[in-house]
Amino acid sequence: METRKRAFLKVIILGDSGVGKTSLMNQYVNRRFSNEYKATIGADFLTRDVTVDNKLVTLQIWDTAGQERFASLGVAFYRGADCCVLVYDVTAPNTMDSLDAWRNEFLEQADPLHHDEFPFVVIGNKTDIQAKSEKNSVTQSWCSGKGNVSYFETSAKNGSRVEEAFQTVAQKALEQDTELTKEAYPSPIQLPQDNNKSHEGCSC
Amino acid sequence: MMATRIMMFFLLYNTIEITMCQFQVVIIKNWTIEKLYSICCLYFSCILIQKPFLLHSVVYIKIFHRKNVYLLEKVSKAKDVEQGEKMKTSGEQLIMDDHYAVDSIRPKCIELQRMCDQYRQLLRRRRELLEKSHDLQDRIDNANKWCNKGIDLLANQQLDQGKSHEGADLAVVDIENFASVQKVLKRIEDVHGMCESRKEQIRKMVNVPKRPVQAVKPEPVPMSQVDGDLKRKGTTENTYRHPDIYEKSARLRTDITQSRPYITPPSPAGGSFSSLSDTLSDKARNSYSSMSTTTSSGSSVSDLDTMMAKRRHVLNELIETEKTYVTQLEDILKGYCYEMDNRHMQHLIPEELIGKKEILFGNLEQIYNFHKNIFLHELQNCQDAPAKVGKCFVQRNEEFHLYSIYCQNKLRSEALRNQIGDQNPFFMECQRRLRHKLPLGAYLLKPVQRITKYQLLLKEMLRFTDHDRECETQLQEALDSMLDVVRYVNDSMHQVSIVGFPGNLADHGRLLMQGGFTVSTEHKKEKIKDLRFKPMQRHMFLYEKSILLCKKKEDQHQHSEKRIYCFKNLLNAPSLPVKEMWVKEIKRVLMNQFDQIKVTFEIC
Repeated sequence: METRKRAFLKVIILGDSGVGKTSLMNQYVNRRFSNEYKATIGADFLTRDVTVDNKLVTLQIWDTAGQERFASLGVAFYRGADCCVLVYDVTAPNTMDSLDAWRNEFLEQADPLHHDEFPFVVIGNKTDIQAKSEKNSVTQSWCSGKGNVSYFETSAKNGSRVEEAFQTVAQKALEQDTELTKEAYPSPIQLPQDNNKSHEGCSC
Repeated sequence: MMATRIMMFFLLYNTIEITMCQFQVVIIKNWTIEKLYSICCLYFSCILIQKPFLLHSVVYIKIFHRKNVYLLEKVSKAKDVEQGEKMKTSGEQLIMDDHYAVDSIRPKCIELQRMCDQYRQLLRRRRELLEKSHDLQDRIDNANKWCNKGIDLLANQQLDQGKSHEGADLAVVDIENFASVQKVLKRIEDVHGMCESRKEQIRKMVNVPKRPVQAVKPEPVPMSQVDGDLKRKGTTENTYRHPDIYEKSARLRTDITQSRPYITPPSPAGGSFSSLSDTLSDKARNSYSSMSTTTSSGSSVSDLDTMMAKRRHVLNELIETEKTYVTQLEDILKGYCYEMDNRHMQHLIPEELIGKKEILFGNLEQIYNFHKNIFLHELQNCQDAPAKVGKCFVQRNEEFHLYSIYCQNKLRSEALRNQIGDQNPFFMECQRRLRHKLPLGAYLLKPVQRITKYQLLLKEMLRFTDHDRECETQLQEALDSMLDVVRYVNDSMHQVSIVGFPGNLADHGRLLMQGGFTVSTEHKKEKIKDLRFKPMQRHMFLYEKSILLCKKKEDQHQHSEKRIYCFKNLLNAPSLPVKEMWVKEIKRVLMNQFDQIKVTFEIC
């Protein structure tokens, strides 16, 4: 069994090519966006320390740019992820339509313990070009229909809401990680305590 | 010659202090007015030559800041001027004493006087500049601190606070107290926007040809005007008056080669910005104007120079990331792989790992050797000739197939690593020695990631190569070949999961394609009576010489759930014409069925 180092949380960024995956990652980790000399590939993965619930954790963010069309290469990456970020471009509505495919692809390849509860964060990027996504409501309802999914609209260019989005990513990843650890080490049998009221049965 | 020696010395170290020390030593040793004069001249001319260097240093405040402060103190003492004066006085003394060479001394004294004055003036100007740079630096620091404070505030605010009313209120108050981040951001954006539009305006003005024949060299954007604009319109607090400066200076720190006099803040001393641009040497000005095209916004993408510069940038990224990649591979090999043979590490190696170097690392060493000894050099040879890059990739197409071997092994390697765990003493010790933040697993993925990145870089280069047909063709060819490589690597990873095939897959040629299909066959009547025709999912592998039909299964034993393809059928044609005919027919039938299935799915 794989022993996990608790301090590291693995995050995967997925989405169609050109939606700004690399830029988002660079903006979050380096607080930098460059229009003129934008790096095409950036780093394979970047890490950043964040505080979540008074705990210092290290987010390990994996960029998947370039792998969009090569599903089986993803297998190695997705394994052990604690949270998955799905990115689309608010100015290109068709990139939102791919979210479903990306989510399924991830779930199939990463094969987490509970498919329905695995945390996703959806990001509509490029709000600097178009302030509000046309698909805002569509995306909102898509997210709410998928369980553990949060939605943010960001701009990797001016940094708007990037920080909040990734803070949520960290939060969710930590919850997921804690969940996994709990399952890996089953908690001892809880003896019923007198002061704990039983919720079984109708109290009305 | 003393003079040349000093000159060399100066060129070597390029700092005033050292020249000065040398100078003082010289004064003591050679107290003849002739030599003194020539050295003095040299010294002053050195100072004059040094001027552009110093001016640059004003721009590179961050790096030269400490040196500048030091110089500031030194300059303010104006010791060297005193030395000059002293020399002049001693010269005058010699004239008074009716020296034999009075005719040659007199003009030199006059010249010394002139140089001293000029030098003093330059010193004054430089001091002003240094003060300004200091001031700018302080402001940038403040802005930086402010930004960090904001980020820390946001990062430290606990999101769960928001769940309760009081918590949320508290958080909101916190943020509002912090000078309203959103508002300031908006302002920064506004000012940035204003600057951009002004730059655009100015550029348009410059672009209106005054003469029928326009100078080819693009003029730099007159920054002083933008500066003026900022001064007039900048209404935010002092520290944030120039968000543009912050952004640009941040870039400067990372991109030193781009020398460019960025906007100086309005100085309380009233020093004028023009003094900076006036004193720019021609050399600096030239290098600046050649760069200015590359820093202009995307509006002039059609501009040939911009395209070339951007392409060069992508090429640089390709070479730089290749260097990093080679270093990373070296780290893995030296830090982990070769350590497995290290006598002193033997006791740390887990039993399960002994003798399994091949499984853990696959053909990583081969990949490393190829990149280090061949590919990196070939790319570096293209540094000045982006047109040749395409060829590198096409020529080395075969070598890149090393990656399919690596990726196919990756699954075995992963299983082994999971079995041992990242926390075993051997891996931990290696990781500690390498000072790697992430465990081995992350680094073993590097080749898989790298092979997918070349096509991205080639695509990017292709975007900026409209103007060069030949180069475009070669890059396109390179892109296609690299996409083929990745596709092949991708497909071949499925191939390793084929089980139960009687024979050698290698006999059937290279794997061309793979994918899931729906196959419908007739079932045996005795088993299923009412469902006679049932569609099944089959994974097809198209090889050069045959087709394989496999059944996809999820094999879940222990902890490593693995996808496997159970071999079911092998299609082999008796002869080529027959094969072609059948292939054509099969294609038609399959496509038909596929379309039908698609239609039924759409209806559903």
